[in-house]
Amino acid sequence: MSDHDENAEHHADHDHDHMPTFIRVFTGLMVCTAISTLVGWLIQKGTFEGNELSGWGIMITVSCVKAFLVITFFMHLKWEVGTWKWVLTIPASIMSLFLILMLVPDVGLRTNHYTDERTDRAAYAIPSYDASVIGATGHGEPAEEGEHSEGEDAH
Amino acid sequence: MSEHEDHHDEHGHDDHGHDDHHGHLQLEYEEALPINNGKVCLWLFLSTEIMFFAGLIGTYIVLRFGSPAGTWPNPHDVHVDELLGTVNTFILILSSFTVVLTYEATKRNQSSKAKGYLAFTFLCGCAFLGIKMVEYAGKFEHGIHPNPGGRSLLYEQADVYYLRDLRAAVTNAGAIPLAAKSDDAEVAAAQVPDAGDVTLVKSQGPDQVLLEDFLHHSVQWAEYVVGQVPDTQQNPQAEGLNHRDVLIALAQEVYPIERRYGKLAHATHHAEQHYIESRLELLPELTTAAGEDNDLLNMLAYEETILNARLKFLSSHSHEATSGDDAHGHGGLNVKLHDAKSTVILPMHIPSGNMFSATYFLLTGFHALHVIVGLILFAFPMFWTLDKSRANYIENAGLYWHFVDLVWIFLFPLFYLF
Repeated sequence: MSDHDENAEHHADHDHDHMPTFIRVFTGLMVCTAISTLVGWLIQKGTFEGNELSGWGIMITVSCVKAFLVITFFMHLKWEVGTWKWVLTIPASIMSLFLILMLVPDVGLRTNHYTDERTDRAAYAIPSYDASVIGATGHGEPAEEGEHSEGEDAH
Repeated sequence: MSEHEDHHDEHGHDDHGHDDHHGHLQLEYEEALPINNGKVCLWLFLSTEIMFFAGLIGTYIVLRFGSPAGTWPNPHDVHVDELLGTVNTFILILSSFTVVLTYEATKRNQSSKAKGYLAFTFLCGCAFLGIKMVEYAGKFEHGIHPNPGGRSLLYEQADVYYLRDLRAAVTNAGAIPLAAKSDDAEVAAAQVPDAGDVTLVKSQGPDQVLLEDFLHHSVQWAEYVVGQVPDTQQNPQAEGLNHRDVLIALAQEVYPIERRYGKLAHATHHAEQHYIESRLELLPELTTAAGEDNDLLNMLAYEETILNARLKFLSSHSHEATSGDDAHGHGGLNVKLHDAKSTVILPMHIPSGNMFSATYFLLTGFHALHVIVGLILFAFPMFWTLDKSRANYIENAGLYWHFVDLVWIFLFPLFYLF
């Protein structure tokens, strides 16, 4: 028990400084959410047409900032003493990062190597899709490429 | 023996004595971590939780961005409302903030103040779950379920199997198909699956009318196209219609995804109109050529009925399209049925829809489960006096709650805004 009390007192020393910080962090989180929502809304409106990746990038960056704010201030990691916090958080973060990186090849290689069946199920812009082109190249290609070769054939 | 024990005791006591008197020896007894055991356990647990959710979110990211371009449904296509998501995000951040306030008040022995903040946090959690429930119910109402082959009515592809299931759904609901001759009541009656079941046939509510009209001018037309009209997709030289486009256009009548298929459906309708008009010009010739062949005459009459039904629909539909251009499943037959309080939901063509609902329900479901656990953790302290001695519990419960908030911070843009 004495240990707990010491801990609480140790925190209590800094209490008066923290309250305004918490309010600022809370405001920051609200602003970040508003930014994400705004970007999402603009994507829906078509402002990022053909350039969705940058919109997504902004939203994920904002999410990382929010996560940083929550972990650092709300979870008190900023005021924890000692190295234990790094022992627990860094390996977990690195492992989760690598977990996603391990899956990335599936994402990176998707455009050239998805099967005919998935191509068949893909949505397509109207006359661009041509089954014979995909049959000729052996493996599925994005619809736009099919459109190009079709155009060349016509000329 | 006793001597030996005594010696041990003495020795131990000696050590302790040293400890008390000489501060520099304290190092030998210092704990590994300068925090209490509860917090160590919670942080260890949270680090496993980070990896748990990282795996789930990572899988979602691979499926979402690994799907062929344009095949993942937009949030609005699957009734994901970003307004509800934003409100939930605000609620969760607010509750995170009040947990911090609860902890601060607990540390200062301000029990009633702490309980007030805690109650507010608890209510925020309940509100979050309530909104989640509304969202889930909305999806179930529109036939979006996570289990393909079971309750899910989402079809990856608008193909003949989709057409078959659409036909089954419409006729199961009691819609009577067009017969060869519209005045041939006997044939019509013979084609009803359950002619004996009077209630099925007689209950002609507004939804029944919608279903029967749809069967007449769209399902039967698509069946005619698939069965009779040459396919230009397989054979570009053929004079006919692209079966694939006709089926997609049919699916668009049930559940329009304007941004993706709007143009395609529009172009297909033009092609259909063109085909029907040229075919109708040809029919009188064919009828005279048929002579006395009753079967052939019957077939041609049937064809004419279907062509006319479709033509009528196309001309009325083009007016609709120009007057009000609705996106995201609105204006579709399923929404009309829903508005007419019908229990029938027709199969829908939403590419990657099943993958979407599987990942959506899995991730938000696990998150909601964590919210429930958090609420249980917050329920106990409501009956306690929240003084300094409870500060550790409140801090640990708070850490867990912040983690729940953290997961939502990533789920919100991934599901509602991308």
